[in-house]
Amino acid sequence: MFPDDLLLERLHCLDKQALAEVYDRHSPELFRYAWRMLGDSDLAEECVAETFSRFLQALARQNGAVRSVRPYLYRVAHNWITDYYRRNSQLILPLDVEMRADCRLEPHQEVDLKLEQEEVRRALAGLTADQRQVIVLRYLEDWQFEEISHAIGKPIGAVKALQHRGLCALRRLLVKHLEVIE
Amino acid sequence: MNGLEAHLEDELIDRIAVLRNAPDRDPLKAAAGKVGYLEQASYLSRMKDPPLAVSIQPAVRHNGWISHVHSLSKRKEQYSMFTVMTTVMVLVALMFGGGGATVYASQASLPDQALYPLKTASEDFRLSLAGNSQTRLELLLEFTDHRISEFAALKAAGEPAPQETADRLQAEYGLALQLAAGMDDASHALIRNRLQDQERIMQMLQDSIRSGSDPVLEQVQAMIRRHLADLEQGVQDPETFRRRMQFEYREGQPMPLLPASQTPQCTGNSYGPGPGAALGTPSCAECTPVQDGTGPGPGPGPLQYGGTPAAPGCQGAGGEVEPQCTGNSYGPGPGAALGTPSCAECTPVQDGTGPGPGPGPLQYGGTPAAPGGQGAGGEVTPPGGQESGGGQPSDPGNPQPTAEPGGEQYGGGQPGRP
Repeated sequence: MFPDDLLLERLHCLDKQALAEVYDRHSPELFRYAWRMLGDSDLAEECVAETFSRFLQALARQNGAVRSVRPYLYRVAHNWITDYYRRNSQLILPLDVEMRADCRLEPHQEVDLKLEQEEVRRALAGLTADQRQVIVLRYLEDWQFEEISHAIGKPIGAVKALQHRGLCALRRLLVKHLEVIE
Repeated sequence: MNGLEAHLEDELIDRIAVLRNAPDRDPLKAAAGKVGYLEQASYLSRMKDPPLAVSIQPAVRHNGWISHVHSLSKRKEQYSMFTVMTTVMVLVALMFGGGGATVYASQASLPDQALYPLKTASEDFRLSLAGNSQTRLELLLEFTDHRISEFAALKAAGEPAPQETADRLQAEYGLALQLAAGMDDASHALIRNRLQDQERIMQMLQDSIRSGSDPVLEQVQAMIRRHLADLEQGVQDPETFRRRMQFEYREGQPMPLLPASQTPQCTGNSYGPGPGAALGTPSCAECTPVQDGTGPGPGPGPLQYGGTPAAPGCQGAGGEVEPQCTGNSYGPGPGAALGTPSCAECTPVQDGTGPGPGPGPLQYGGTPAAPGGQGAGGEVTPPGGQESGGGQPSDPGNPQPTAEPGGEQYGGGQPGRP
């Protein structure tokens, strides 16, 4: 396992071992991140594959774009997801909704959870791209403000403002959705 | 942040937390993804030129002009949907698109509507842009169709046909005939066919009128028939027809219009710059101009379409000229008498003292000026005392010719039109 500074150096040389280590370390969390945003395992896999492909191309260009691995990967994944939402402005629920059995939950609880997840995901889709990224990184990935600031390239103050506005907008969207249901 | 806000935020965070339960990743897909990733890395490490950036770097983006445009206004929170460029585009659209839409809308207007002047102006503009005679002729015929359609639409609406439209139609016919005179026989046939169609339409319009008749429509119908007769004459004698048309319908000048009730009885060719012509039933046998040949005399008198020809040779320089004849005559005659001249009545007195007539003004659709009636020193006595040699229109309310047989009136004074 490489230390971080050495790892970055090896990565720029396209060292296979270093590249494999990065993939093993970050692809699972990137998959979860993508799944939370997209709600589909296949789409999440596609997002991860594309993210690492762009990561490799950035390394090959040797232009110093990659200065920190994890924030860079999340930023690429976030951009891919944002583009996906732009291309598919109407969020389409697939008929074959994934219903993986969870032995800890009863079937009706499983359905409730699934519906609740879709509702929150729709509300997140209604946020701006920056607000969505800050909310997800902050409350689902448990990142600190400094890391988020580094990932999205904005000062910490701006990150806090984005978080505040994002929460307000999210609350409004969830209440609105409840009113529609009622 | 107060307690309530903190509570609400906690609730919200709890709701978001439902997304924490992400499913486990399929190990096979994860392994396949890793293999593909490493293969791509090997491929890239062998490449001399790495691929272009997925996201183009800001340094190479062609966004300089965008930032320049934005720098025109430095205000923060500017409404991005209304930039300077947008303003310019909206103004251009309003200037050209809006004007074009108005002109387009005017094409369906009728003479009694507000947009009608725009319609006629656009037609004039189109005519002025036409490059060659054939195009101009086709445009003019198209415009005559418009006029006929307007008559039909007005009739369907129960509105009277306006005189101005008939005047405009007459002017369009005049220009078309003038153009056709310089063209081949195919153009003559084109006009003739169009006139025949329009004559049929006018006949149908007249037939559809149950009570009374519209004098303007009658006048238009008579006008079309006259032109058809002219064209038929042109078939018999194309050369004469061409010369006559080219002279009578001078381009750019309006053509006097005769009311239907005053359709000339004689169709003598009044060629030449005769100052006027006499209405009536001229007879060439009665023409005995007296000439002394002392003065040039002529001036372009009013052209009286289909009217009585000028007295040839009666253009004796000035003096009291009493043209004795009308009929087919070329050349400048100072004037002609209205009525039914006879040789006995036409006794030009010439003293040869001065040049003849000046050009009488042509009045579009109105009364032709009395041309040349002012031949030097000639005593001109317009009928009713209202017409002078200068071509003043006669009483609009009295479209009947006021000249009495034998009365002296030079310049072929044509009664004015209401």
